[in-house]
Amino acid sequence: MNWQILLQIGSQVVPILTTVEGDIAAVVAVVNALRGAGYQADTDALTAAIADDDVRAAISKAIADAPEAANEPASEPAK
Amino acid sequence: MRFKPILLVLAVLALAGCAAKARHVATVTVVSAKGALDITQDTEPLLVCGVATAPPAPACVTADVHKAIHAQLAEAYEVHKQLATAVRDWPQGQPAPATIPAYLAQITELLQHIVDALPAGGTKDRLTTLLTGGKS
Repeated sequence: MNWQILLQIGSQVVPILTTVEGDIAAVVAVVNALRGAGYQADTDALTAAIADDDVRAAISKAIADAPEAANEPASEPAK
Repeated sequence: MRFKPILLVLAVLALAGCAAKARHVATVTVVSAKGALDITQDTEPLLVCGVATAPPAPACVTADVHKAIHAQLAEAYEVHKQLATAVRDWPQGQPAPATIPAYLAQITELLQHIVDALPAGGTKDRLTTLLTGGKS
């Protein structure tokens, strides 16, 4: 299950972070940063974002570089 | 429907504001940009031809487009990492790093290309609404 933090700006609601369940440190860091908890809280949020960027970049790179056959969705019905 | 990168435009404007709060505003911007990338990465696989959630062709994402989108997403995450690192390493009391607007522009352009590559339909519309804060 994914958790998503939404930020409301006036009447707009925008997603600011999607994280997997259990990744509480990232959520707490972002919430503290949004509360303006200070320089260190911002640093913690950015560090968490950088770490997650590495993970997500690797996921997308694996998809982009996958051989054609291995990239077919598993649920595709047989023809 | 054209994707309007409201989040990243807000970021550029915010960086021109009060220096004392600029790093915090930039942090929120970085996290917002990451949210835009993350929701795109999470949503696009739902549209790939053959998966249960995808509409039938030609309204689904073909394998070639799927791979091209993720090549762009991988690049966008690398740029985002550079952006987040620049903001994290921004010394207190110093002017904003000059690289920040360029990184934001690159991420915006990549997101624009990705959203444009998605076939028209409800999922694309919902994604566009999320990315633009309802201003699509």
